[in-house]
Amino acid sequence: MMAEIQCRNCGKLNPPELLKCQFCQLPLAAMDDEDETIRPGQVPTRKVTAELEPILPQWLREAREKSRKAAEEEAARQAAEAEHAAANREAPPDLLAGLEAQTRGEDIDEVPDWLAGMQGGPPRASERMETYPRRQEIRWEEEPAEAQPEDEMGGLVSSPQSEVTFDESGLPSWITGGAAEKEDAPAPARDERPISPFDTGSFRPNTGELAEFLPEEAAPSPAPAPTAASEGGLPDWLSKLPPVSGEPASGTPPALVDTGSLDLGPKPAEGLPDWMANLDAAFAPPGPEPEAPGKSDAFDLPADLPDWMKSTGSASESKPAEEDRGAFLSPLPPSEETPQPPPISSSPAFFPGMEPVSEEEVGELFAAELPDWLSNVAPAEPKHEPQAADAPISPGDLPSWVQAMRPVESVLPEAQAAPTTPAGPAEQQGPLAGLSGILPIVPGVGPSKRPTSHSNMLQASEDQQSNAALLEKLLASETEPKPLTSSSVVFSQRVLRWTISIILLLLVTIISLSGSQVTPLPILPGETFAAINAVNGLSNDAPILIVFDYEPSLSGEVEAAAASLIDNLILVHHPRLTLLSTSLNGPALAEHFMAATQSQHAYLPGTNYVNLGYLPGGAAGVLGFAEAPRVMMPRTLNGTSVWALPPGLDIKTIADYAAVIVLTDQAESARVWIEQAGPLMNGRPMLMVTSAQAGPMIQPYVLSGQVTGMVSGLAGGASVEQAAVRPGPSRRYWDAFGLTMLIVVLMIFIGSAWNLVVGIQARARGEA
Amino acid sequence: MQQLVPAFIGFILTVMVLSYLIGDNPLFRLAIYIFVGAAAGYAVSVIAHQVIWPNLIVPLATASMTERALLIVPILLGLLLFTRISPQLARLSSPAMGYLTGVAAAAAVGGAVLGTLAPQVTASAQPFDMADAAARGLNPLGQVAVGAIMLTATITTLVYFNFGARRAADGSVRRNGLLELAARVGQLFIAITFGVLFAGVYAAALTALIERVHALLDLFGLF
Repeated sequence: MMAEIQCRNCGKLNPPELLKCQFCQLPLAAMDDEDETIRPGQVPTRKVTAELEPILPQWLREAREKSRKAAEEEAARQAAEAEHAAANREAPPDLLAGLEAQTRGEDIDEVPDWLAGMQGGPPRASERMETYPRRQEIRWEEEPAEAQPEDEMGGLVSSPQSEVTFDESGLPSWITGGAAEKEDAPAPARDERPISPFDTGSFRPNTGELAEFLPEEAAPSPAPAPTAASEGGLPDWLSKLPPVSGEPASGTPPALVDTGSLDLGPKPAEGLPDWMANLDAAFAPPGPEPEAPGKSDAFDLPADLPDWMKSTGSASESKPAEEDRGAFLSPLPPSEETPQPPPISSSPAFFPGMEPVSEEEVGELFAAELPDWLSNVAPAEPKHEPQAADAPISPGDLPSWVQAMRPVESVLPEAQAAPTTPAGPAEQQGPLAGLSGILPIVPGVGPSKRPTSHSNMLQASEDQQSNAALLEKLLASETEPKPLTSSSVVFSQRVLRWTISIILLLLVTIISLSGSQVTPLPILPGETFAAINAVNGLSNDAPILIVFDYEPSLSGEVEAAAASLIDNLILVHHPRLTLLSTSLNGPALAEHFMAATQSQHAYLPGTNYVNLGYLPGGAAGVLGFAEAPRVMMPRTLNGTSVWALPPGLDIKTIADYAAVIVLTDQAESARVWIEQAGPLMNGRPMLMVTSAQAGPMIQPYVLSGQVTGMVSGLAGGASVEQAAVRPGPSRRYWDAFGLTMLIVVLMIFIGSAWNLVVGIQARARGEA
Repeated sequence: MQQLVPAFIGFILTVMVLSYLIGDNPLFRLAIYIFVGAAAGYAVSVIAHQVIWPNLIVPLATASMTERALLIVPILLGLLLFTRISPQLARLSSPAMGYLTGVAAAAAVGGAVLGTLAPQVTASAQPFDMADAAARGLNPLGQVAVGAIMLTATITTLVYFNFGARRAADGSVRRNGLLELAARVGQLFIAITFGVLFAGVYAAALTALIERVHALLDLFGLF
C-alpha cells in the first residue's frame, strides 16, 4: 500500500491516487518535480534562519543593529512624507505595488532575505506577495473595446507612485472610505476612478489560485461554501498583503478592486495569522450585518462577505474620513459601539495602530512568519535597553545544536558564576571590529599598579655556570679546524700492509715448498678426544649422517679438520654415509670432500653413501628432517628414491642414525642442529667438525654434553691425525701454520708495543 | 687435462683476489663479480633441481590425486610470494610471508629455549655438584673453580651491559662502586672472548691461505 502524499501547499495528507490536492487543488505530482522552482500560485518553502541569529559574529550583529535603527528612521521619514503627500494624490492600491515594482525593473524577489535584512530597509511589499499573478500570466477576456486601457493595467502600472493612504484609524483609505461612500454615494461614477480590469468583472486569470476561486465567487451563494480557498483561509496572494508604511490619510480611495467579487473566505481564522484573527474578533459586529440599501452592480457586496471584511468596514465608520470610503464597502453597517482597539506600540509597520493584538501575539506572528532576526526590524521605536550588542548569548536563544556544542564550563553553575574580566568597549571599525578588550581604552586608564621589576641578570648556580662553560667549550672545540691526515701516514700504512702480506706469503710458500714437518703436533684436546672415542664406539656398517654446512672459502680448513676423522671412521667401521647440507653450496662441497679426501676408500655414491642434497627451510627444515627424513627429503640428487638405497634403509627418524657429524664453519648453523635435532637423537652421539672461528662458540655445548665431541680447526684435525697415526692434510699444513702463526704473534706483539710507545709519547706531548 | 683446467682457473682467480693487497683494482672486482654470479647461478640451479623439481613437479606428475590436491597450498603460497615484485600487489604475499615467519620463529624460539637456554643453565650449575665430579673421576675443587670462573664471567658480563646509574652529589653520573667493579671484570672477560674469536678467525684465514698456497704449488707440481 502506497503511503499518502502530503501536500506541500497546505500540508495535508492526500490519497496516493489523486493528482491534485483535495484541499487546495494544487497538483501533487508536480510538486516533486518542482522542488527548486517556484511558480505562480505556489507557496515557496520558507527557510528558517532565525536560529542562526544568535551565533552571528559580533560585528555582523552590530551591523544589523545599525541597519535596524536606520530602517526605523527611514520608516518614520517615509511615514511623514506619505502623510504629507497622501492628501492630494491618488495612490494606487497596495495590491498592485508589486506590479509597479516590476515595471520599474526591480527584481526584488531575487534579493535574499538575509541580504534584505542587512540593507536595513523595512520589509518590502514584494516579500509578502510571492503568489501574485504576473502580468504576462493574466489574460483579458471579454474586455469591451471602450473599457480597455492603454496598457493592460489601465494606466495604473505607469502611475508615478503606488502608495496607500490611511485615515486616522490606521485603515487604508480604500477600505475605510468604501463603507462610507457606499452610504453617502451609492452610485459612484465609474469614470471617476481609474479604469481597472477588476471593475468590469472580466478579470480572469488563468493561472494561480485566482483562476479557481474567482469564478466560484462570481456566482451568488447564500452561504459560504467550504471551497478550497476558504478552507485554507485567505488566498496566499491576498493573505500576504504587502506592508505599507505611511500614516492614515483622508485622501480619495482608489476603490479599484471589486472585493465583492473576490472570495476572501468565510472563516479566515484558520489560514490567517493570529494578528489577523484577532483583528477579525476585535472589529466583529455584535449582531448579523444588515443589508445595505442602494448598492450598485459594480460594488455589490455578496451576502457571504467575510466577517473580517465586514467588521473592518464597520469599525472604520468611527473614523472621520467616511466620505472617502470606497463604494464597495458601503454595505458595511456602522458599528458605533465597536470599541476602539488600543494602540499597539509594536504593531506591524503596514498596519500601524490598527491591530487590537497584544505585543506577545505580534511576537508570535513574526516568530511564525519571519525569521527572528528579521522580526527585530519591525519595532517602530528603538529600544534603549541596556542589552548591548556585545552581550553574551543567552542559552535560551541558542539553537539546540549550538547548545550541545557548548563547553562544560559554560553550563556548570560554578563556571557561570565565575567573575568575568571586563571586556572593554567593542571596536567599531577596522580589522578588530566587533572585538572587545583588545586595545586599551586610553593610556593611563588601565591598571595603575606598577609592574614588578625583574633583574636582567641571569641567576644561575655555580653548577649551571660550569655546565654552561663546558657546553661552550664543547661547541668551541667542534668549530676548531682539524688537521687533515697527512699522506705520509697513508703511505706508511699501505707499505706496512704490503710488508706484512709479503712476509706471510713468503713464509707460507717457503715452508710449504720445503715440506717441513718438524713442528710438533698439538696436544689432543678433550673434546677431540671425546670425538675420537665416539667414532670408535660406533658399530660397523652403521648409518651415519654427515652434514656439510660450510662455505667454499673455508673449505680448506674444514676439510683438513674433518678428513682424518672421517677417514678413521670409514676405515674402522665402514659405515653407510648419508650426506646432507643446509647450505646451497653444501652438496657440491660434499662431493668434493668425498673425492678429495676419501677417495682412497673407493666409496661409491648410492651404494656406500648417498647425497641427499640441499635441505631447505633453515631451522624448520632441520626440525622437519629430524622428525621425518623421508618426508623432507624423498629423493636423492639424481632423483631416485633415497630410502630404498642401502644408506637409507631402516631410517625413519634422525634417531635411527648411529651418529650425526656436522661440518660447519659458522656457530649459528651448528647451534641450529644442536637445538633442533639434538633433543630428538635419543642420546645418539653428535659430533662437530668446525672451523677455528666457530669452535669457541660451540665449546659450551660440548661442556654441557649436548655435543659429544668436537674437532675444531686445523689444530683439531692435526690432533686426530696424531691420535689415529695416519697422515693427512693437517699434518702437511701444520708446519706452515705453526711457524706463520708464531710470526704473526710476534708481529702483533711488536705492533702493540709500538702503539703503546707512540701513545705514551703523544700523551707526554699533550701534557707538555 | 681434467685437473689442469680447474686448477689453472683456480690459480688465476686466486691471484686476482690476492691482488687486493695493492688496493681495490679491476682484477679483484672481476674476481668478485665472477664469484657472485657463479654462486647465484649455482644457487638457482640447486633450488630448481633439488627443491622445485623433486618436491613439486615430480609429485604433480606422479603422485596421487590427494597428494596433488595438497600441493595446491604450497603452489598458491609460492605464487603469492611473486607478488612482492609489484608494490601494488605486495600485500598479497603477506599470508605466505606470515606463514614462513611464524614457522621460523616458532622453531627458533622453541629450539633456543629447549636446546640452549635450559641446558646451558643446567650446565652452569653442574660444576658445583662435587659429588657428581667425584663420581666422574674429576677433581671436585677444580670443577668448582671452573664453575666459579664461568659464573663470575657470566655475571660480570651481564653487569657490564647494565647501564643504569644514579647522579652523584657532584653531578656526575656513575654506577654503583660494586657494579662498577663487576663491570670492569666483565669487560675483561669480554676482551678475552673477543681475543679468542679473533684468534679463531685469524687461524681460519691463515689455514685457508696455506691451503691455497698448497693448491698453487700442486698446480705447479703438475708441470
